[in-house]
Amino acid sequence: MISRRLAVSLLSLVFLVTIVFFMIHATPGGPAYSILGMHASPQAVAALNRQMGLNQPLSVQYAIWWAHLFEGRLGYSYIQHIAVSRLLGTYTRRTLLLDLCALALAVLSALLVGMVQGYYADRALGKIIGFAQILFYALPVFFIGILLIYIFSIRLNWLPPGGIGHHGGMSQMRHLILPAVTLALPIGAGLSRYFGHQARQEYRLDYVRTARARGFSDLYVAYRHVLRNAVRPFITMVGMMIPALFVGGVLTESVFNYPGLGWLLWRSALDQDYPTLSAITLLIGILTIAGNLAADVLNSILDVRVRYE
Amino acid sequence: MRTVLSIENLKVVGYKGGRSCPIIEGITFNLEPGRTLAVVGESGCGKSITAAAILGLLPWGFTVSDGRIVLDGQNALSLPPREWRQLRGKRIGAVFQNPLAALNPSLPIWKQVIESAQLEEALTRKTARSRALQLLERVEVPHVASRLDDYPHQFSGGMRQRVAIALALARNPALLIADEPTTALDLITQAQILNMLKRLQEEQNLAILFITHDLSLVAEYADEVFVMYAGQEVERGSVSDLFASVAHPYTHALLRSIPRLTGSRYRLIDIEGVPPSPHSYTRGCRFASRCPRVIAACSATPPPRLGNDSHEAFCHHPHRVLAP
Ligand SMILES: Nc1ncnc2c1ncn2[C@@H]1O[C@H](COP(=O)(O)OP(=O)(O)OP(=O)(O)O)[C@@H](O)[C@H]1O
Ligand SMILES: [Mg+2]
Repeated sequence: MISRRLAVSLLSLVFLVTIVFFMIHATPGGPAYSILGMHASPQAVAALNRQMGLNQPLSVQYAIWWAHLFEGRLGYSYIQHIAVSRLLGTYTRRTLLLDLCALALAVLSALLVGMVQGYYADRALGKIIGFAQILFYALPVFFIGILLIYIFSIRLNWLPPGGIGHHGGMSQMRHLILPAVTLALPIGAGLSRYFGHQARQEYRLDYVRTARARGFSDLYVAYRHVLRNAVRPFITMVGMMIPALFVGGVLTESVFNYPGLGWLLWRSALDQDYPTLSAITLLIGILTIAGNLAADVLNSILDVRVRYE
Repeated sequence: MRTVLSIENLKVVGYKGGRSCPIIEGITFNLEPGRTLAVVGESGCGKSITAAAILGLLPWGFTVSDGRIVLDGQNALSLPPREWRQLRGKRIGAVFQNPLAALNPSLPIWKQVIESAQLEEALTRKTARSRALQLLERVEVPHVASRLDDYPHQFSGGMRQRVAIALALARNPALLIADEPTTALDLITQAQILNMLKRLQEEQNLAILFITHDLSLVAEYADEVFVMYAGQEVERGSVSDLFASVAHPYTHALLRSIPRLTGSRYRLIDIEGVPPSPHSYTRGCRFASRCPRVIAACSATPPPRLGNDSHEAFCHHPHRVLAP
């Protein structure tokens, strides 16, 4: 089971790398123009083509592309004047920090809210939660972001409206809170809706009645029995939310001026910095595949039945 | 003899289709240690709701609006919810119809069997496992020692029901509520499980509330019968008295017809029509519209109680006159 999922992940990876390769070659005028800009002189283009091996057949270039990837050579940003691989390091770290915080927030609140919703499914509280989920799921990230900035930074003056603060310590934490909450809200709403539905289904099953008939308290039944069964499909769902995390991240990082990958993606798109753009695309793709794989592996560790199949 | 459970004039109202209506009414019976009371009746007559009321596990929207549920001499309805909960498992055990879903799919069976003991006291893994083994041996799960770590899906339906019985009896309750425990099983497994329950009953002086559709099981496994129709009692008595002189036309029809499974529900194929829904429960005899012996009085006034404590019926026009 796990080996099959590993194979699928590897295959998606090859597919991703290939797609990004063709994406670069499909840019108008070829990669040299996209690197040097549309107004580059023919001499400069020819020189770059020679230097990068772009005058060779496509199949050879494809092989070179893979070789470069393995060496971590992702090209040179002529806008930032730095090798893309060196550029990405810091930005990736910041994005991972923000995204992991947001994901943890979203997952924890989804579990909590979902269990409450499942338990109160037929009652008013369950319906109120259902309404709130739709609301938060539908609100655009930039709207939530601006609203939070207005309330917590401008009105109350509790938290900074953007930036990253000093590295490490309280200042960085304080700068993280608003973007993390902004990013977590719609994702948490989606996840909790899914998990609430899952918990509700579990609550209807006979083993819950068995546990109650044995005199177990509602809280015990919830965490020992219901949570355990409802959480397995949920983990896969969390894996599937990772792309939404990156997409939401682009908007959140732009709104909060938080220099992570999403912010860089936005800047590079404005600057037509194609090497950086394709490198970020590749990186986000890889992180997505890795996230899904991690969810599947975690799931199969929890789900004994997967191992028996 | 002291009763384990005594139900007095129990009434449950529930919301059905947005309206509140009575689901069961005037239910009264006693259950003594070591005895089995069978509750029989067609689908929807309120058997499971009666059981749920006794367990304090009525579905959301259902409440006991009248009567008493006396367990161990105290009215459960006047207990704080927490104390009533503590009676479950300890004084009352319960098994239900569908053994395939009755166990938690993601816990090995030994952990489920030992769960209630572990909540009471800290057990080492070794003692816990050996106690789980004993509990499962009691319900005759074959080769238990090698199957402790198995998950529910690795057992057959009959075996799962045995495990479910082990869970219900883990703390030696005085009363077992068995809501159609063998309906989903084949006839041979059914007989094996019922015989095992009978043996456990004798060993532990267990009182059993046995809910079933199948009157043919009642003569063999029960001491008393309680026949329900549309949320009410129609006839009650000791097995010997009742079967010797069936008074109510509904019981009569039940005895003559073999319940057939149509879809997920049992229907009495020998009686025309279907039972009324709780919305249309009336003051008169609720069986009147389907009764072959119906007379003018039936739908007008509630049927009178006939007979005595060892055999009673509620009927205007019974098959037999019961001595008061
Ligand atoms: N969870 C529930 N929600 C709503 N209505 C219910 C619920 N459980 C039972 N009822 C209703 O209460 C009435 C009595 O149902 P009950 O389950 O007690 O019947 P039963 O005699 O156990 O039938 P069966 O033989 O099919 O198990 C029926 O009208 C039924 O529709
Ligand atoms: Mg039932």
